[in-house]
Amino acid sequence: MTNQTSKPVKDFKIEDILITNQTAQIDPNLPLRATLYAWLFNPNIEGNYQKSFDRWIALLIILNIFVIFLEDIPVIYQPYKNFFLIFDLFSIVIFSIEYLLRLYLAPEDEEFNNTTHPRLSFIKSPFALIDLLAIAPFFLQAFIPIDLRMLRFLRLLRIFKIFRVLIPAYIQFIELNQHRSFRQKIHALVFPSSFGGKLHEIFDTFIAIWVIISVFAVILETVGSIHFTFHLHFIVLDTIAVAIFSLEYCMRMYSCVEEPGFRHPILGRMKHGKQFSSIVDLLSILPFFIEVFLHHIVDLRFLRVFRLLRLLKLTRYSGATSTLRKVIAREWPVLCASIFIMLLLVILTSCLGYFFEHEAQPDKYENIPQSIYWAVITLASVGYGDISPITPMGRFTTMILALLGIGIFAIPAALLSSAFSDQLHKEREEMKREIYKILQDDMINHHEAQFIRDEAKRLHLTHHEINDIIHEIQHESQLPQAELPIHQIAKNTEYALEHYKILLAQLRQLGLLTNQAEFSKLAADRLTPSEKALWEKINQSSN
Amino acid sequence: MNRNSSSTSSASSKLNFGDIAFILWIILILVLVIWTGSLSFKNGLKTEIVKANGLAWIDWLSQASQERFEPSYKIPACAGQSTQLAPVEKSSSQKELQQSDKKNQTTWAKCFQSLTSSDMPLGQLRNPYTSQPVQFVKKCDSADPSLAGALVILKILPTPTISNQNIFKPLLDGDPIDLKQQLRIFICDHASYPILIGDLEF
Repeated sequence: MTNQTSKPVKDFKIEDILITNQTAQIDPNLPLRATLYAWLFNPNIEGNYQKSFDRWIALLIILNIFVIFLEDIPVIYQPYKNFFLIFDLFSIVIFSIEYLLRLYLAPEDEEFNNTTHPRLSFIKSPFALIDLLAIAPFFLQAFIPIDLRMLRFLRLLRIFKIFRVLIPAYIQFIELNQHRSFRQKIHALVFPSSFGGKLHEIFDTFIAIWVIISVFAVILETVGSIHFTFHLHFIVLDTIAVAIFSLEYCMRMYSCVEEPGFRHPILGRMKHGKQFSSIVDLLSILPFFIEVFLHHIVDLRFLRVFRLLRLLKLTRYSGATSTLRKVIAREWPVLCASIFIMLLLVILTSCLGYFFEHEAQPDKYENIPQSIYWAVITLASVGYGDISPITPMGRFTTMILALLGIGIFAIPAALLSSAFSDQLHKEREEMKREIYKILQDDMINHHEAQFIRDEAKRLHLTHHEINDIIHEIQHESQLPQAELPIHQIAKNTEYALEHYKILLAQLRQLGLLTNQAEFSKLAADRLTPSEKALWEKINQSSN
Repeated sequence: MNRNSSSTSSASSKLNFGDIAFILWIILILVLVIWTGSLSFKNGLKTEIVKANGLAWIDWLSQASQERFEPSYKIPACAGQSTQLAPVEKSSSQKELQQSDKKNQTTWAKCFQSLTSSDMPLGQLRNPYTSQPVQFVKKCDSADPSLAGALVILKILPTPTISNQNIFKPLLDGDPIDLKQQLRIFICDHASYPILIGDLEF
């Protein structure tokens, strides 16, 4: 977005920035067909149901794809046959309604309303053909006997409905990346930037979905009966997941040189490869290769658990983990100090425990390492009770230990929690400064509004809090110039001119009210000739 | 959103050497993943055959557990001792009785031999990793790759205490099978790790 779409801050409502409570401005007197089109399918009206409608249809398509694959597994299909049938009926009803609605509303669509037969043009359009293919097999089987396998194959055509979402996103991506290199396009696809558009969002969602699927599969694999039945399915699923994650990793490594701070072709990539998120990406694919090729050399079953690290890939899409990392890095010295005190206490008390209890219970307090286990379990208030003191001194030590434990073990938790909230507060303050900067020119464009939206989401700022910040700035912009600091006035030419006029008026007023004779006498000594000449000129003009 | 990321300067949209190298690299990675996946899948298919072998054994042994105690059972080597014991002659000594019992006792080795003879259905089963008849081992050991595809039969012995825990011991060649017993069958997968097939009464 360019500054051509900028609006003055005064005219920009908070609802415009946060896109909350935004309702579509649709004329209620429109005919039914036009109203329906405006509410459901018009992509140019903000606040209508077009995006929600598309999102729900996309979700139904994804669910259909899963269901079609699940139907191929007899162990799942047979017991839940009715459920699959009901879901299929539901999908067909929704897809049929969608198709009929689009057909009915075709004359309102910009794409078809210029043709002589808009509905016929719609029927012949590629998207409509895909929509028809998605529902046609169901209706065909009522008239023509179709083999069940063939029917399932035809139902796979529903996958093509996803192109209704993909193709517009791809076209937008191509438009945004005109005259850009192949590497820049790859960068726009995998990294957040203003060139990614909708396709980048789809890419992120696709990766997130596969992360969830593969982690879910790893968890289910540990259930013996499920693994026994779906062993081959898990292999196929893991291979697809690894192929996707490997591609993503290569794309990130290849295009990271477009990111600021990683420009060098080798050092930049090495720097990027050492980042936490890149290491997670690599660890999520490595076990697949290592397990296949090296399982005869070493026991690599433990590597399967590493596949759960894929879940950490999702941290890329959340700011919370980066905040936590910053908090730990910031509070590391204090955390170390508290850990040192904890260790000191554990060692000392375990020595005391061993000293008092060893003779009475040589099997339980056999040595100091065993006493350390007892001390930690007592300090942490876990208290399994498998090792407990029986001597009076041992019990006294345990009492002291338990009381100290409450305080000592609470220190790191309290430190982290206060540092976390402090970090959030700092980030919010930083965001406030950013908003001040954005609104310095009294204008706000859609790009800046998008930035505010993203930051508000990242920092979990409420509508009310953002509203307060914006109003504070709006209030400042409405203040009389005299109340503003001179550097604020100087930044705005209009304010500067007004301020100059005010100063001139004040000088004239001063000339009229002061004792001219005495002023001239003093001015002869204290003012420079040019200052004196300017004073006389201003006062002459006022006379 | 990273507003400063990526330069806006227009660059050549034609593929350069680096781009082509990247595309080739991507293709290579995909081929590698598919090849590795197909290796895993082939191993998986073999594991499925071994699992089917294990299930066939479970089916046969479970079915035989009903019939083998009948007097007319057709595989004498696997026949169980009738629950109604034959009347014992008062004159014969205890020692003689024990000796004759031992002679008539059916053992796992005899039963296994007759079951895996080529004319029996279980004799047709093959280990997909070696293409040899299925072998029985005491336990799966990931350090020994030659055990891939083998079957393990464990005896489930209840502990004498009230606890619910059982003791598992491998079924050895000399173990008598003339009485009913609880068994657990494992198979060894491609990496010689055990996969539980199921429990049965034989």
